[in-house]
Amino acid sequence: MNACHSANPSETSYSLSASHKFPVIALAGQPNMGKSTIFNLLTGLNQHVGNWPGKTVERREGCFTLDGTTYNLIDLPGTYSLTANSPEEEIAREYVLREKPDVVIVVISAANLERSLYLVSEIVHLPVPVVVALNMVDVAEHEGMKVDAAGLSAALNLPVVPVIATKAIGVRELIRTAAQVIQDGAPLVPNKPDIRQDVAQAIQAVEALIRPYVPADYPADWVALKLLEGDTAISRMMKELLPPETWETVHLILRQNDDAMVVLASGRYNWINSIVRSVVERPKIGQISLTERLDRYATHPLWGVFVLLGVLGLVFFFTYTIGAPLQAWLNTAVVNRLADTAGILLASSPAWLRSLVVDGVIGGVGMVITFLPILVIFFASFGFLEDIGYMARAAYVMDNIMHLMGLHGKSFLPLFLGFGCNVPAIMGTRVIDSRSARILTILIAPLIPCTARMAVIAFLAPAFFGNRAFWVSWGMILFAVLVLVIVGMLLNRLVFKGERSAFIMEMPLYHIPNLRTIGLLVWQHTIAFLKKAGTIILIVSAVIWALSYFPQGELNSSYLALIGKWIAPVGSWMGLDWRLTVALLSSFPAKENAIATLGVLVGSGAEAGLANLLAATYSTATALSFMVVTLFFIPCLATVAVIRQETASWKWTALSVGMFLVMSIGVGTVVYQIAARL
Amino acid sequence: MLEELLNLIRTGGVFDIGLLAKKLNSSEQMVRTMIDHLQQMGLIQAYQPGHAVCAQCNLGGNCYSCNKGDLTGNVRLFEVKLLR
Repeated sequence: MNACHSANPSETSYSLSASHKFPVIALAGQPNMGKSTIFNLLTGLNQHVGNWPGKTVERREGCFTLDGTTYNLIDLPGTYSLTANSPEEEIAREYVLREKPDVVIVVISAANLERSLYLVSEIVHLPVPVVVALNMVDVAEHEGMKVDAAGLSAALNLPVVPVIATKAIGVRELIRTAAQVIQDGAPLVPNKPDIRQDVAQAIQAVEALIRPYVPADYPADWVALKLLEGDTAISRMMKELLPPETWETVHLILRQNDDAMVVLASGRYNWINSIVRSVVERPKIGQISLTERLDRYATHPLWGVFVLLGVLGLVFFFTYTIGAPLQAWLNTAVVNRLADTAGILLASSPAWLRSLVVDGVIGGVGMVITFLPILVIFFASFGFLEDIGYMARAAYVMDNIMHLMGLHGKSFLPLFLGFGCNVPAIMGTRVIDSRSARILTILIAPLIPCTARMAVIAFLAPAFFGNRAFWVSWGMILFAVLVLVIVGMLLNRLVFKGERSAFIMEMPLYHIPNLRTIGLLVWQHTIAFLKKAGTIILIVSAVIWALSYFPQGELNSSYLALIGKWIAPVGSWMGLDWRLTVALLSSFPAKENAIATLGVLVGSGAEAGLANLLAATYSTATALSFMVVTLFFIPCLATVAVIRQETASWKWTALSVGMFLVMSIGVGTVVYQIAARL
Repeated sequence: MLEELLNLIRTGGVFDIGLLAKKLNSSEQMVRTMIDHLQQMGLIQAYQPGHAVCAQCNLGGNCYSCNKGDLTGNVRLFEVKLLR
């Protein structure tokens, strides 16, 4: 390919001016299809870069010589279609229509025919010879795909040349094919997408009306098609050119066919789909196949639920078999020893100081820190499930159930986000347009068990239920989901009134987990948890201790006992004594405080450990009731703050807090009254 | 095909791209392309909770949900705007 003179392009027109004496080849294609690579390969240093007239879009043109013939080559801006959605798209089609290059080479990707053939489906409507460069054949092969270039050529009725632009393979053949098309002169008749009968008739009707007024450069049938597609640039042009009464008639036809935009695009996709199905052979091995096989069960409306239950069960199983013994060891070997050592070191200190350190700080914060193994396993389990790609499927399966029950589809987002934390769940309701629907979704979002509440359950269940902890915590989560479904159904019936909404999600392929990612996630959450333990939990523990110590240095006559006994009647409906009731109240700033408060009030420093003390002190019915109430109790402070922020109303915030308070007391009472009678 | 896709999602609910591809007897690549097209038409809207929500959240994106990569990385989520 020899060097040649590079023409200076006109600044006022699309044409190549002086260099137009040579055959002109235009390179068209979607972005990232390798168009510029081909351009650079062919023109080398013989290229000129400027701007398209009146636009800030880069214009690149150059020339090259092959087999003794010099060609002008113009690199059209990358465009997804020929509808004037962007300056690039308008430039590309205006150039082709007005300058009429001798041939247009459309560069498409063999690795993504579905996307890149859309431009071909549009360009075949223009009166210009087309050659298709099937680029990235190597990428397609690397992905295990085989693209039949000859079959594609037959399907399109256009010359198709396989190319690997990055390796300069097939580029000469491409230009020779283009040269042949230029030389033959006779335009090829490419196959075109079908157009639905009624829209085709509308195009004909519009065409008949506008034909006398369409500028010479534009084919009337193409202009009619673009009008029906709602192309703004063409509509503006024809509105100026047509007499007002003709425009009115055209406009009436357009209004009557307002779905033509979708119908025409649909026809193109049908055309692309049939071509792709006939010329592309895809692999059925490896990761994709594994994902498909697993998803037959994991996303199945029925089996998916069982898989989800099984997975949740496994998480609890690992938590209890590994985390609970570690928790017990930490309690005995670290917290108790620390309490003993502190007691000895502070033996000569005032009693209140010794009690603050031993019962308040070590009893509260220390007890929460023993919680760490359970949390680490919990976060690691969920991190693992996310990293392998399962969590998105869990949300999908849950939504399937809710959708079958008639729940509003927009509940999906809070559900999707809420498993981690209720705060983003509430923020996720921003997708809901209706204020009333949004507020009611905000009200139910905290029903989704967040990780903090699930972790508290994971701590309490083995403490209260020993070997049965696995089944109890599993049942708790099921119960929470059941309540969520019931409330959601009521919401759908009362507020959304059957209104439909939809989401499309792309789930990740299952893949081998990245231990570093999971480790990082666990590390971040461990640090965040320890920070919480050192701040909010420490403060709450100290306050709880102070209230439980003063005025007489004895729990039963303390301020806290006074408060606790005052609210004890409400707790008694749920089988909770004042200490459990206070533990519940203290969980408002952060859910984990419930454990810290129990540590302070029930006593973690005792040799038996908190778990054993709890099991010995409270009946099964009380334990069950306490766990259920914990699950449905007022959301944490951060969640309440975000409810206030998102509703911009203290009234709704108060209603939310009140609703959860009433609900938790109601459910706790029912559970206790039933369990106590069994 | 785009019409079939629209008809499917107009029934409401959450749709997985793989499942849509099966129902349309097409490839996931094709469904992705059509989804991008519908997005360009303004009929659906990409939803990125990680960016949109976490940035404005009181917790400053430090919560469990916002930290998990799936939300912003591997899962693409679109809200269907028009359900006629």
